[in-house]
Amino acid sequence: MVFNSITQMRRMPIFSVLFLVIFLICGIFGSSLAPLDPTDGDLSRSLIPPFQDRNYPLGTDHLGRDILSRIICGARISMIVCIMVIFFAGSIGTVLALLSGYIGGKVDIIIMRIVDTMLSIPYMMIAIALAAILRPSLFNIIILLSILGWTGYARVIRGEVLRIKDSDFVKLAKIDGCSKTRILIHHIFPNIVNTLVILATLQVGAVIIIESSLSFLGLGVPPPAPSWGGMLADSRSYISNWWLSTFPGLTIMATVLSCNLLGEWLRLQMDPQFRQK
Amino acid sequence: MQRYILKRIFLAFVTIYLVTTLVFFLARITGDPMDLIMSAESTQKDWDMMRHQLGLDKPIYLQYTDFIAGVFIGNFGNSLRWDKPCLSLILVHLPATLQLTICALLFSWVFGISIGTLSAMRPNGLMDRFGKIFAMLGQSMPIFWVGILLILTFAVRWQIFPTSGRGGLLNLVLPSITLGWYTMASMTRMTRSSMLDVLDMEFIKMTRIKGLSEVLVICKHAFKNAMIPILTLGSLQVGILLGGSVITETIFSWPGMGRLMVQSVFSRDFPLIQACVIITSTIFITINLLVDITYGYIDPRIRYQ
Amino acid sequence: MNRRLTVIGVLLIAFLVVPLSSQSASIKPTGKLTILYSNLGNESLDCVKWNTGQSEAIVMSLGEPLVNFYWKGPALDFKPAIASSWKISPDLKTWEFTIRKGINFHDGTPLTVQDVVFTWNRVLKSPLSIAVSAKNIIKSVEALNDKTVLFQLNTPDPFFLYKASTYAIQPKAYTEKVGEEEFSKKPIYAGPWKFVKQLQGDFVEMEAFEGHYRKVPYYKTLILKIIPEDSTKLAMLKTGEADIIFNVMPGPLVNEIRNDSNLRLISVPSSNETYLFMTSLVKPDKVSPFRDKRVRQALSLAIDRKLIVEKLYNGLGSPSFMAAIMPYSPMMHPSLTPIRYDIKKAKTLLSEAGYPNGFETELFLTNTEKAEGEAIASMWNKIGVKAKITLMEMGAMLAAVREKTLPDGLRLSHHSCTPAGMWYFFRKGGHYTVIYDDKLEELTNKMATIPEGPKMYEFIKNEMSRYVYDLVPSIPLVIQQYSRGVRKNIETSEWEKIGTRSIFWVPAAEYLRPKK
Repeated sequence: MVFNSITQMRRMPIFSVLFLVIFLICGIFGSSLAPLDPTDGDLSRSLIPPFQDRNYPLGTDHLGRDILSRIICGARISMIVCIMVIFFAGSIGTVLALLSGYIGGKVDIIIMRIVDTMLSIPYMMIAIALAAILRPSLFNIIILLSILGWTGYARVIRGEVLRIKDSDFVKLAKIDGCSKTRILIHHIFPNIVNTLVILATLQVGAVIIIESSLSFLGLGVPPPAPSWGGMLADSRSYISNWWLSTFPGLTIMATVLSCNLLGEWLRLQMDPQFRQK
Repeated sequence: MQRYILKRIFLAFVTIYLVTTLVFFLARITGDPMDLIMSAESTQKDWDMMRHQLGLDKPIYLQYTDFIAGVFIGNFGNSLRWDKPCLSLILVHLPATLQLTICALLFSWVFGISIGTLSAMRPNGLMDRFGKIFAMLGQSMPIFWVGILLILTFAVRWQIFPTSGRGGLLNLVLPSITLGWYTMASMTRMTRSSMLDVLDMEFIKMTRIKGLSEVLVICKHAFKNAMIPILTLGSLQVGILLGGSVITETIFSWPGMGRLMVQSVFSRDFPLIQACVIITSTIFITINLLVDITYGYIDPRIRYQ
Repeated sequence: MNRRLTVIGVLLIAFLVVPLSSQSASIKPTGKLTILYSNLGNESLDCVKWNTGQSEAIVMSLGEPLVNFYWKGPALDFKPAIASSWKISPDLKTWEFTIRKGINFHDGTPLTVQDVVFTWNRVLKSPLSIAVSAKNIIKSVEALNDKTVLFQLNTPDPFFLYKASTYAIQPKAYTEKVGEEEFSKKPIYAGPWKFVKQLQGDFVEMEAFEGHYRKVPYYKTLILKIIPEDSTKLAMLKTGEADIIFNVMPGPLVNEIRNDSNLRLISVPSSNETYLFMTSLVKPDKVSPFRDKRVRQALSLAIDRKLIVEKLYNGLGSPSFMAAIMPYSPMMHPSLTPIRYDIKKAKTLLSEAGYPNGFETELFLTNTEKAEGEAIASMWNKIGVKAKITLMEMGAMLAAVREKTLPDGLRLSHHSCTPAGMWYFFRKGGHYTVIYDDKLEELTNKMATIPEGPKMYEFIKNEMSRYVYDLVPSIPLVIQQYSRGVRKNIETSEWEKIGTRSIFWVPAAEYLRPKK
């Protein structure tokens, strides 16, 4: 499997990486970078168009809050949600996949049935039902997205585990008398890290998009926290005041696109079939 | 082979049963539908009477067995909100969703496969880069935003398509694009990689050496061989789109299952939630089953795993 | 022979009927009218089973109640409908309705006293929400003779006419013939519109009933369509796929409609007040900062209502300044003035009450009130009151309100500024009560012994308005105006003149006509 120009394929998507670095900086230093308070608005200064008032470079929203500050601080919320969801969903998914793939038998059957069940219920349906059960809050959104997200990890990583289990070095380790736990931790786990990284990068995009879809249904991160999805959803009917929805929309688009491009690139980089060549 | 098929069918039934049970309990934790039905002034007597009328006064395990028994004979009970049999409500709404799903799939396939093929012909060419980004854009924008932007541009400003609702073929265009664009990226990716695989094979190289035109090589020889993984992905997308049409249907006020489902959850309409989920899931599981079985025929190794 | 007789009979009937309907013969209903709603409640076609205001839009277009009401000024304006007149006993416990002669159902059968009694007895048996407020006070409904129906009440009720207006009358014979279930699929009523078809969650289609006694519609077809998404509604109105957005919520849509030369925004006054309810005031033993009148006054002073009306309501409303009493109405004492936005005074009052640095509290909202809630929390920041916003799902909110389980804090809500409203809000122990206050309850009970009218308003003005103003039982915010987005090719003058059933959602589409 050789591409015509593999070196070119390996070129890093520079814009994506740059953008994600900015995203991370905003996420970490968000509140100190933001020129104004993102939650406390001045109603008398509502709906100022962008590029007109020096204090509000991207204009203000319907409650007189600075859109630029809200976007910058929104990065933190997106970042927290993404990191936590990746952590929770990733660890649940990975642990269950390792158990399922390595132990096999009844454990495998049970875990895979649960995964199948979760996957065959429309995910929006689970999301709405969970959102109705849990009160809207940042923490509950994280739980909800984790419950939705772990199945993806479980499925892919189980496949990987099955493949690695059959490989020679695992068989050798067994012959060597390594314990099951040792094999799992020292031999199998290091070999699925790459897949994990790819899945995590791709999940960032999915998390941001699903959060905004939930906001559209009124089930997203509750106010006054400036989440991007919430900003976009709340302002979707302000058609003449285009800047209200355009800026958060473009931010979401750029972030998700960057993550997906980076994930795609990582996939090509880390695909074991590639490395062997 | 028979054993393989039987096993698959058995597992599919297990999954359907699990979905049924899960949705029964999940629906019930969302809250008490009586909160939305009864008025603040209702007396305890009214509450008891209404609970009894709706069958919510029975102990939970009896409700569960009744429900399972009902599902077996295709009786999902009456919707609490609309006071009509759930099945008849679904039968009215399902065709709209199927129609939308199929059109969205067509859109996603036509664009996904052509972009993917063109990209594979010249990796890193113009098409590869911009086509990929175009396909990925659909995944990078929240669906509701795409929908609103499309309505504002094509329906309000240029007035080419109607804004919303179900009607003629023109009504289908905007919602199909909105929904189909979301799955286009994975279709593009799959086509591209499986085409690259095929183009790399010896027999393609042979046809090239024989001097066949590039178009003929791609269309006739390569495409046929790259089709299997593409079709698999396509059939799996049916399920994703079936369940993912919630937001598209809301934006375009498309009278389908997605909207019905959202409304049923918001009004805590247990019987309807159950019926909607069970039917959508069963369609999804059936498609998966068919794909699995077809795979079994094509690739005998799978049967023995 | 037989056949010939029938033909003659039909001809005779035709001759008899023609002069009767000649007034309305000049209009032949044409065209289609599409009205958009966000939702239509449970979309029930059964007049006894509708559950929220929005679903009344359907049954009240199809059907005709005993009396019709419209909102005009200080109170509801009741117009005879199926009842041509009514009499009230001095103790407000017996109500007598005279039934109009010559009203036909859609299938041509005449409406009789028996149909009225039949419908109302179904109401009394229904456990459904809307029926409750009526049936809890009605002792019996019976026919006195072939043109009078007698309602006996358990308790005196000066506001009974409103309840009498909530149910459309259905035909007894037809319902009993086809059964209730079939009736709810193919209903027959006596309203200006006949039922054609329905798709649950999507639309209801109706057709003009040309034999209607009150008003034959100008349009042939009426479609009530459910469009949950505001931007879609706007797009449909702009392109002409729909004719009216029935309820334009204050917010972005208002300006979009104003800026489009093909559209018109019609605002109608209403009695609907947005207010803040303090959860602890209905729990007499609970310790809470809101128990102090000065705290309530301070919070009220720290809200810039003018700004809220201007920015969030797009001018479609007016600052409110008393709980449940309409400002500038015959019910308001002339010495009362609008609440001035005054942070300094608010701070002083807070210090006097023992909270010089403010305090922390919680603001409970459902999704539709998000913007107002956020704006108010932001304004209170300036006097040190930190209101944490808690979003709740509708069902959870309703349950918490009914069971009074909301923690100490405030809830943004709506109620109606009418004497009937006061009766609900100011008496202890009710489900809509906002405060437990001995004097207020006494005054309210006294008010309810007077039949609704100028005398009652006089009493409210002189005895109650100043007390309520000072007490701040709930924090008043804005009196809303309802607005409809209408395409310019629709003639609305007649529609606007009749007033509006604005608290509820009845389109009254029979008064709309195409512009020539």
